[in-house]
Amino acid sequence: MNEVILSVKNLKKYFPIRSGVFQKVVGHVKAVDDVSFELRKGETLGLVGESGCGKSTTGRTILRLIEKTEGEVMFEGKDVYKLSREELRKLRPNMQIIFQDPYSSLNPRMTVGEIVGEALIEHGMANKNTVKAKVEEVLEMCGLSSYYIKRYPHEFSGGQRQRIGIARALALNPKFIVCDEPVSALDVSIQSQIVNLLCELQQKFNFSYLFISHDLSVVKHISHRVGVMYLGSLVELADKKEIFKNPIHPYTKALLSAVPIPDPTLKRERIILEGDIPSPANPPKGCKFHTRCPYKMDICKEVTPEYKDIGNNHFVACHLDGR
Amino acid sequence: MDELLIIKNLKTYFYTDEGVVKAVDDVSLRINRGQTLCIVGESGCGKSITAMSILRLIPDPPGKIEGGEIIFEGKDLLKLSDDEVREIRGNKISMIFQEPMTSLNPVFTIGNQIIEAIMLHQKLDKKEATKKSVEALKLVGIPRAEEIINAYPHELSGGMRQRAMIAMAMVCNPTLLIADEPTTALDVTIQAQILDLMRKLKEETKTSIMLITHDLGVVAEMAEYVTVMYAGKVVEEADVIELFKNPKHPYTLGLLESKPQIHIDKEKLYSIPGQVPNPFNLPKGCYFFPRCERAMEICKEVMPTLKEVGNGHKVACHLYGGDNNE
Repeated sequence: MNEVILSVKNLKKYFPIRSGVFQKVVGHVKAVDDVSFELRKGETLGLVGESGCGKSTTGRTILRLIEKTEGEVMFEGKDVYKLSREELRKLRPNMQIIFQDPYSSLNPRMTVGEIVGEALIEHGMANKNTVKAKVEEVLEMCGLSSYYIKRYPHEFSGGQRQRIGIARALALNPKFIVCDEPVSALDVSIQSQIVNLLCELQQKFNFSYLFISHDLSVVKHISHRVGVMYLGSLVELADKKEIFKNPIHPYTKALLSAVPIPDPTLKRERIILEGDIPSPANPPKGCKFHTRCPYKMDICKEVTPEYKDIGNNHFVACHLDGR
Repeated sequence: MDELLIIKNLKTYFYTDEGVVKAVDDVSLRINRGQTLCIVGESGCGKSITAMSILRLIPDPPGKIEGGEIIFEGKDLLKLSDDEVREIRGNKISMIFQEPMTSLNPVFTIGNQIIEAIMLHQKLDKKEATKKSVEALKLVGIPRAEEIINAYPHELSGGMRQRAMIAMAMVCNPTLLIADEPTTALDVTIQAQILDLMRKLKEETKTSIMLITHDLGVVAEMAEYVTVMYAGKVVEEADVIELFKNPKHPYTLGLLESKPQIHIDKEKLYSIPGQVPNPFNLPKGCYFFPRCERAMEICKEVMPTLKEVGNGHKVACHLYGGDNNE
């Protein structure tokens, strides 16, 4: 559990905004703006935040599915961005991703066997004769019967499709999986099946997950540590118990209090944030959250708070930090 | 209490090439004046179709309301002419939808769309209607309402669009507001704002709300009375406190158990095995029995009926009382 498998330092991803006849760059959307964290072996790091806060872009930039703007991504001691194409290809089986929408992430013209088996053959982990047995093994592991192998994605329900997506990621014996909102498109009763499956697989194979989700109750269930993102930056990151019991950043507090709890007798103090998330193309100066923060001070409008450890591996970026 | 809407044995079926889908199959429910009723269930359980049936918005063909009564303020909506229904739609009963982007018309300004509803149902001229729309936008907490009224839907964020939808729905002072997953597409902090707004508007205007959702957390916060649906049928209904304290139907229990909760730690999540049955091929007997851990012999053969088990709590399950009528 202690060995660091992934370390991300000051990762930045800016998307240029182009305009005019000559498509001149007129600005940047700062989708990921200076994000740093570490992930250990067998650990799940939950990444939460509202839509547009850059959590998915973070996941994809780490896997080098999109290129970074600045920063460093070290996977098992190797800088992912310093590898040649060939070296990166060899590394790919170790780092996989599970997507949100099981309806659009599976090729409708391929059978389940082809979807799961394609990468196995591509990476030389199986040949035409052995691939069927391997695919069947992985499907069973994900709770699908092996006779589904010749069927097409449209013949399955959402939950089953998500299992196919998991099987595809699992087939290559990865060490690290980015789960990008894997249960958001599913019904509650199916959601818990998938969450349990992910937990079981982790215990069995000691995977590391980067679990991206906007659903705090799911993140709380599955993660060991949780990071909260706002407008491209991490505002708080700590051990799960710590962050849910003792949230420091006003945004984390508001986010936690906004989650509806299925208990009608419970009366809670709710912090309702005003307004919407500002545009990431033009984030506020100083602390990015100051426009919606109920505790803002003068300094927040001018100075960006430093993201630092306040003890106990609890990282916060706030001028109040615990006072 | 005073009843506003009574649905009796509603049946809405869809006739497709592959067969008949009984999307809503013998559903009865009621909403009192000033009450919030929540309908919970997973996708495909018929909760939205029930709502659309009330407003007679079912596309025909393939859909058809095959039976039942929908009595609103003493009148059966299913017996009214199209013109009479149009009088009620958007006026006495209005609806807000899940996707605020697709349910607003992108080529008209927000103001235009609200003014249209006002002028259709109230005898006001354009100037008065404009003034009223600004007031409506202010009521739902939209800042700079005078400017926003001239904005197009794409210029607003998701939360603002949903506020505009609510403004449009509330502008004719409806007695019933149907909200179909109003916050599902929104972020949690925005969801909290919108739920808060709906609660406030309900207090002020005494409008009844029929809230359709799959999120039990939202139910716990908003509902006074809850109806749980599964595969086109009502399986359980009760007062909100009673339902959460004392859930009876194995499906309701499963739903509550399988949701991770932010204030309680669980080792492993409970999960209901299997999946929602295929609507073309529903099991004989209780629709839930293939997934039910407490299924008995009788469940395979006989469909349980909805029965009162005390405290105004109704459940359709053989576990609670013998059900010998075929």
